[in-house]
Amino acid sequence: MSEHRFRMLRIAMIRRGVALRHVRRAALELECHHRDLTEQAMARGETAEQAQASANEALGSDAMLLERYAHQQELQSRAYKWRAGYVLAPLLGFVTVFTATMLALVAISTHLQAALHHIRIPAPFTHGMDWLASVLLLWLTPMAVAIGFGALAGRQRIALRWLSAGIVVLCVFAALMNVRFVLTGGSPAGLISAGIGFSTATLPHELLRALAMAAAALVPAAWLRYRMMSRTALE
Amino acid sequence: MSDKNPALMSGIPELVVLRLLAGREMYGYEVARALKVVSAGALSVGEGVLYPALHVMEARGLLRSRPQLADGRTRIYYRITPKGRRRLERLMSGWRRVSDGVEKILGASTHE
Repeated sequence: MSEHRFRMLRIAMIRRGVALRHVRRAALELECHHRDLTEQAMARGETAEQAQASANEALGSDAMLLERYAHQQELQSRAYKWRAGYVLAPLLGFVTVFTATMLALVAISTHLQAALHHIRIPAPFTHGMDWLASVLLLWLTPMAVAIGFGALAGRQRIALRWLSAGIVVLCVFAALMNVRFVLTGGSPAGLISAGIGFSTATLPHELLRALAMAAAALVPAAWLRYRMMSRTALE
Repeated sequence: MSDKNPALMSGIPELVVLRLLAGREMYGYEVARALKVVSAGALSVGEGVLYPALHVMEARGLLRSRPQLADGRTRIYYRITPKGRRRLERLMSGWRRVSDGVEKILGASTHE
């Protein structure tokens, strides 16, 4: 019975943002203390049930213990203290990955410039590459970043509302972006560009795109968050 | 009043725990027992609340902990740090000042 009590307390502490190392140690210490109290009560002549009850009483209620841990800032996890940062963190993650990918594409193209000067790339291939770059950078990258942050949110016990807000911000930003990756060969060999903006004419379309992307990213991200949360709570 | 006499209002648990651990290294259950025995039952709290207080004191650098396996159980022993001793001295002098003040008031004639 006490095992179940401490497992529930541990989960409640994690949900309230107590750092995992303090949760683990609290569980260890409280269980040990409870066992000592039970043994002491049984040595006084109490039955096992009475000893359990008096140990529970001496230790204090779960609600009181939870409040004492949760209200101490020093015991809160860093992620919990900065949980509002999840609204912008996926966006910053996306911008970092996006910029790195663009720089890599520029570097590769510059390296191949001499070779591309002498060849003509067929138009369907050029369109295909452009389409692929758009899908990769404006659909798959934001989704991968969102799912990655979903797993991180699970490990750090971040509430779903913060993760959802972050994913929506990321998807709106990504929906307003555009990328061109046109590789034609010859001189000049093509162009690589990226930008962000919207016009009132295309805004409904872009918002619809953001909504679709957010829905597609939120489901796996939320599932992964839940999985990671369950795993770390019972470790 | 609490600003001038923090020990009176909020530092008592910290003061008594640091004082007990200044004597020797103990684990939580021992601290709880010692609190009850030394204060002759005058200081008795839900024993579980000792642990968050110990964790906070450790986070503030006043205590240091180490796990030790004994009788098949892992116990976390706490000992006071030099910073903790300095804090204890401050809390004790604050508490004595308050205690002397209260003693004087209690000892004074009500007709003065």
